[in-house]
Amino acid sequence: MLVASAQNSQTQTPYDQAHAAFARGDYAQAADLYAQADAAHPGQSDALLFEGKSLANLGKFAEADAVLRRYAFRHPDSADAFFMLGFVLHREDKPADSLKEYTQAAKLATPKADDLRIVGLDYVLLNDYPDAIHWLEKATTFDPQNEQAWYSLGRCYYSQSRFKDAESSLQRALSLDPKDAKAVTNLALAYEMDNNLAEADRTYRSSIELAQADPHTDEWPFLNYASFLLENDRTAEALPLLRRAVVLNPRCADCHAKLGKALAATGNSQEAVTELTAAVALSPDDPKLHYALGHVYQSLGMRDKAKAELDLSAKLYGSRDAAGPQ
Amino acid sequence: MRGLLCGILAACTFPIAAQNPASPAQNGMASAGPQAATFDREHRPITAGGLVKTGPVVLMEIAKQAGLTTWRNVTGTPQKNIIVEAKGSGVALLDYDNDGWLDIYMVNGSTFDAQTGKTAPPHAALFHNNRDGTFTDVAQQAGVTNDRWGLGVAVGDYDNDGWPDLYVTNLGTNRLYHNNRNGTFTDVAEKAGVALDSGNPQVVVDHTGATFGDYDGDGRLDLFVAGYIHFDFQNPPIAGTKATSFETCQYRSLNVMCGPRGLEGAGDHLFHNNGDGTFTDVSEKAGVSDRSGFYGLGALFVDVNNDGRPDLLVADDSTPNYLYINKGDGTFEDDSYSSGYALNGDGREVSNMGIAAGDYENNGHLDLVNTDFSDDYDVVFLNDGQGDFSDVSYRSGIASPTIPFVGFGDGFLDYDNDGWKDLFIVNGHVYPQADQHPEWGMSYAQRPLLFHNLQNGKFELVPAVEGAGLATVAVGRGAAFGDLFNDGKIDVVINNLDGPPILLRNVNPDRHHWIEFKLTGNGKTPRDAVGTTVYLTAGGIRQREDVMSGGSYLSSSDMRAHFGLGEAASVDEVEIHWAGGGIEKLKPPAVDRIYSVEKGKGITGFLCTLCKKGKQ
Repeated sequence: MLVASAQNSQTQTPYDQAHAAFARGDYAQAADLYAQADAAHPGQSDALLFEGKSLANLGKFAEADAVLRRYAFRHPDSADAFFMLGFVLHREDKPADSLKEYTQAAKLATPKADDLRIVGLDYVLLNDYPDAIHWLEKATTFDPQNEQAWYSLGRCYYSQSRFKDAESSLQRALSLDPKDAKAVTNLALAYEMDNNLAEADRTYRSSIELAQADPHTDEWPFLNYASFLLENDRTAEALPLLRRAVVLNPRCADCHAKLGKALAATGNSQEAVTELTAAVALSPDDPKLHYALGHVYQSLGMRDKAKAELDLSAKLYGSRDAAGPQ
Repeated sequence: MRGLLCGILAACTFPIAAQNPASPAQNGMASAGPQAATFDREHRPITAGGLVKTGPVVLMEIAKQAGLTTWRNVTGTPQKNIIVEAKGSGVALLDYDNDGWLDIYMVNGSTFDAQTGKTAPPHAALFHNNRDGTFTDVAQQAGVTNDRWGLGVAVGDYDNDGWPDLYVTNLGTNRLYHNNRNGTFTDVAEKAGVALDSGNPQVVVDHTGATFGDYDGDGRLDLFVAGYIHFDFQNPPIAGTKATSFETCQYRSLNVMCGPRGLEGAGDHLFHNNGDGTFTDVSEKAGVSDRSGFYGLGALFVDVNNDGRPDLLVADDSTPNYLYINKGDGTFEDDSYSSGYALNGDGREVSNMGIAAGDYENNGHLDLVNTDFSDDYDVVFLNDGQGDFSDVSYRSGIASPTIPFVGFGDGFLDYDNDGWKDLFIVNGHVYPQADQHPEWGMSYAQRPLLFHNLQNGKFELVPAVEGAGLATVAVGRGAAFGDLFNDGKIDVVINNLDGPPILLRNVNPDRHHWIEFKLTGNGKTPRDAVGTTVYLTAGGIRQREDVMSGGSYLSSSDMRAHFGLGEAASVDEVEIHWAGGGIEKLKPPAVDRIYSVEKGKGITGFLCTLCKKGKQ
């Protein structure tokens, strides 16, 4: 078998080998082989297009951008190229450019639900939520089974304070993928904002269960639920969640800050200083953190350190001439 | 224009709206970000709903019967495209003719047409108290119509002649109305050096809160004036103009009027009273000039650290507050941050509007409540007695109910005379768009909130009974508190944006006792006793009242010290800590009276309206 395979690869062209690599998800090799294929026969195949797709899959968006532009230049009637370019530009955080490419693509072919989802997210990046919602609603209409489109739509509704709509969208996303931890957490947030505190609490707990079972979880489920608990004067319950959050992401300033404040509120000022100092180190330009640390120092009678932190907080809040810091 | 439904034959276009910035927008007003919306059973936002059918009627709205509704506030256009159109105006309660009955001064705004002479300017009102429950507007005869774009007002007898004078702040040049002792006033602001005339009527400062206080203890009232923004009538801060960016013209992702963030803040001014009818600007020397250009609104001289000297509070919109501690040498120390007053408990600058000051725990410490924007809680600052404050908003029960409201005027008042100070907050949004967005859960016109003191550090919201005063919905701004009918019950007057005023008469059915003191100073104490603190012991509790000028939102309240006594039919002791020095102890012979007390002479007279009705 090994011999046959080797012989087979010797008879295959780089283009064929690239497709095989692409199909098995070996995007690095695929990108190299597609590049070779195009170099051998410039413009004669869609190798550049697939090289661009491979690079995008590798997260090399700037390189993908350049390759896809070369391909689109040679193939101005390739809807696929423009759709892909729109996606890559979105990932490069260039929403305006992305929308131009999607517009060009849509002249050539009907966008799919996923394309419209990215268009919606482009509008999110442009802070144009009404248009974002418009296109995300279209995406879910085109493909009601697109879980990510429902999730994104739920997030947009949430951002627009349309909490009931957010709940519906996120519930729909979860009906398609009950294990989507982000959707669960956001659903809990929507319930909270809708003043449905009991349901929010239950959903937050579900998000924690999912997170506990996920070896790759991040700190957000723990931080969000802890924030909810702090808001509801349940500091003692929030503390273990915050401790877990700082373990999961020791570079999360907000996690350290909330833990520090919770510790201060429960009378553990020394440990609060440790956590708030960590928060300040991670986010030295946040005046709120210096203010909190200053007041904990004050409570410990450490007046010089308190003054230094409070002065820094005041300095960071700055002045309000028209050109001053906001 | 969006394309038609994508696909089929129609092409999609994904245009970028011209007005949308590529960078994330920042709200013009500081808040905690969108909060949960609360609706009542009829799905009205809680800010205009949440009414109950039955319950105790505490306050009744009687503005129309009282003759106040012939006047109305006019400020800019209804659209409120420019921030100065939304700030509204204050109200002062003063006895301008010294007849023993409080009169009402209502500041008015203006319009851009009036400013350019195209239309007649709106004028302020001075409602003379007819002592029969009605009032008559005598502003024209009294010469206090202002006719400028008015904002704030403070009352103070700056020349110690025994007659209250008025300082009125404007978008532009301010007024100092000297009381002529004959029912009329004369504007002496220019001569006195407190007009703050920019010299260019097109480019002015939006002056806001004012407060009188004798900061140097010479027995003469000095004057502090807060500045909000610099304003150019030719180049107003409208989104898309060079006056501002787009970034501070949004709220909840919706385009709204710009600011105050992103606008050029204006400094504050402290004027020292020279004793000859003139003042000298000592802001820089005293250390209170607001070099940072924070957006000043509420202002109040009051002693927060019990050292007998008036300190200075400035509530700043969307920027940190100031707490200046009076050092006793003509200067102040900026303790804003170390005291805990600069920011809320989260270390966040909030959109501070009004200041209420009062000892709500009856422990001798002066606590503070700052009103602020929607999606944020009004902040209760608990004083430890040394002038250091803790944010106890949630613990006290004030935070949660106030979140959807945009708070402005506020004050402590013992509405039920039980001896414990309650809290009243006037509300009204700044964005008319609120009514087009029910999902925000807040209305443009909002009802006031009254919190009853539970005597344990906590407050409870008094229900708004349909048809009663607390159910009155308006775009509230300035508010002043005082005993308008000399019946021992504290009433509330509200100056509403673009509407008639509200007079909430206190009709609480309690039969508690009360006592009031009209203080007169001499020597090192200003004649109107501003800065004096009165401690009263009765029924086992020791209360504190301070004689203040200014505070609330752009307003000035009754200067008489009012105490509810609960069931106590006598007072054990009154201890007066006169501004400028001197402690005097009294034992009033009876309760339910308004006593006149002159420094060094004790009780010199009393007024008892209930006695005339045969109740005493």
